[in-house]
Amino acid sequence: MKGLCAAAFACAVLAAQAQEPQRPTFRSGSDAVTVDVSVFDGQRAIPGLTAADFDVRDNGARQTVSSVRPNTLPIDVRLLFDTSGSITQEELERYRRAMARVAEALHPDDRVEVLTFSGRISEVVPLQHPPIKVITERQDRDGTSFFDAVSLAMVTRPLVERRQITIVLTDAQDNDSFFDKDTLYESARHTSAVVYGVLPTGMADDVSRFATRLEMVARVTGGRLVRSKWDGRMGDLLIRTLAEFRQGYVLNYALEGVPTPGWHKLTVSVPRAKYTIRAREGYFAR
Amino acid sequence: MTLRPPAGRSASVAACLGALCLLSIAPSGSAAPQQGLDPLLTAYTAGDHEVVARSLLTSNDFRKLRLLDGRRLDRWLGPWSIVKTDFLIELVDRASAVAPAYVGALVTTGQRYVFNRGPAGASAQDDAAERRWHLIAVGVLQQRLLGAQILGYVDALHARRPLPANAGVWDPRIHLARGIGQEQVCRMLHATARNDRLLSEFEGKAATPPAVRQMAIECMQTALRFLENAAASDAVRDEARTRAGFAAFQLGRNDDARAALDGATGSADRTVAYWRALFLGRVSDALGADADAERAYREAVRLFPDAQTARIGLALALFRLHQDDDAGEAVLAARRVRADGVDPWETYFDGDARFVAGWLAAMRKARK
Repeated sequence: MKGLCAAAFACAVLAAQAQEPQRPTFRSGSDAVTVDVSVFDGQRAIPGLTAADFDVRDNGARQTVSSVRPNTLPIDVRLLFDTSGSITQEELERYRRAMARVAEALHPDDRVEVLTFSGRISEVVPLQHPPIKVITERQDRDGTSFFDAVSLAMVTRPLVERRQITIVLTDAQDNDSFFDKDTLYESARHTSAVVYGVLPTGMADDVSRFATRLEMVARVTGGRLVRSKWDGRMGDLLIRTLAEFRQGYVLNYALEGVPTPGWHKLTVSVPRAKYTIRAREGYFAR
Repeated sequence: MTLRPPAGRSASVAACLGALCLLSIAPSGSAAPQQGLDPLLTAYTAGDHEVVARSLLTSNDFRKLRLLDGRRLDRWLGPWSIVKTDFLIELVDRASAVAPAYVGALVTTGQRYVFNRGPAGASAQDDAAERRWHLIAVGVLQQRLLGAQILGYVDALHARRPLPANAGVWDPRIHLARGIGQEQVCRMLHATARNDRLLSEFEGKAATPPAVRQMAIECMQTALRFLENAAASDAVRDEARTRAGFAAFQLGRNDDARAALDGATGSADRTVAYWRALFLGRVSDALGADADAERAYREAVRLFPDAQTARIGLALALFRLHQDDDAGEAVLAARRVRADGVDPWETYFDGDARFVAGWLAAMRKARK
């Protein structure tokens, strides 16, 4: 029996398969795929779309969308802070406040965890329901292991009943990782979470050249890169991002005409209009 | 993988790539030393091996002794003596701890002093002292990431004590040090280039300029050659092959990397065995052999359970293998390693720094 995992927010599953919530299963020789999709007209999320509105291609083969429903599942939020030396104490406090606002905006059924990294990655708040107290603490160890930390933060367990989002606040500089962009890319292709990168702007050191790292992760996972000034607006921006995440659709289809397993490239569009579509670039079938 | 400044040490000093930077920070004053070297040497000769550590607490203490004035120090050292050689290496080691800007200059002066003792071979005791000096001095240079100076040092040793006639003053680790020094140089270049993997193309517009990329590749090719040469010596073969494997991996030569690592199986040094397992994991990743990668990372975790790098590698390998439960556990284990847990990856580029304390202890014991 084959299984496919393809979701922007959570792993794929048909609604009828929710009896075993932590372990998605796929039945009757047809592989069920779930894809999380956000549709925008400029800044405006587009509501009310139906299965007939979507064109989904899986490795180039057109698929029949069996259902489309709004994203209403609870979410797991993973907050990853860069606390390395390139982030000042003041900036770190702004990070903390912004992340605290995100945590406050969560629903009771949601869950959140907080990780920090500099030379090493560490768990500050284990996965739990809100409310939580967002704290930041610097490690004694020097260095910045961006690639190691973000790659690890993208290791997710596919979940049936929840969607997953990872928010990474960092300037994306790295001087200490063992792993590299190749690893980061592979992790992005495998993760079932949507990753939003938050890149601070207006820093003394121009970090724009590192933005491609975060952009790549966001693009592959169906998230996006958010550039934000170091001020109170960062919190607003993150909350809007979270809201945007909740306004998406969950598309289901039974895979047809494409062999598995392996990498499946996904293309999602709404042919009748020039909307901006955000969905992950693909998924690995088992 | 890019430059990490030495833990607790100034990146700017590390980035000086040798002793060149020292020229600009020599003290301008000519104040008389508060405490000269003679009393320290006297105490040291009498068996007080802690006198240097006890007396030289900050870089200011080194400044007062005017230890950047090489000619002055040459005059003080005078004719060859084993005790002065040992004392000088104590100064080098102490400088590394509290006055890193002095390390390069002291090693340069010390090397000159040792070479001036005359030809090797006349006295086994003198040869042993010289051999010890070279070993520890180069070890301290590795600790300070002074790769360019290491290369110059070993080149000078080749010129002044050519092999095989002078084998008595050559420790096999000096051969390896040349490769490590070159790795350090490449790492500095690496950081400058912001080029995390030499052949990686992910940076887009921010990609390393072709000329810098070529320079980085040639640098690593040189390191690989030095390391392969060092592997001819039985005493350092496993570490040399391990490092050569990593160099080949960084050059994108995964099959060569795998072969080198496969040939480094006999090390009794747990740290080297860890590096080998870690690199084997990375090479297996690159070759798409996730099950092999998992095995390699598990071995690395077995060797150093608190090493976060190995645990991250294991979690990522299990993740790619879709072993979700095991990957989840591995992630939690990686995040929750002890803050003071030993991860030898973090000291990989420090080379022989891990041996320096032991070598000094042996030297002091021999003096008693």
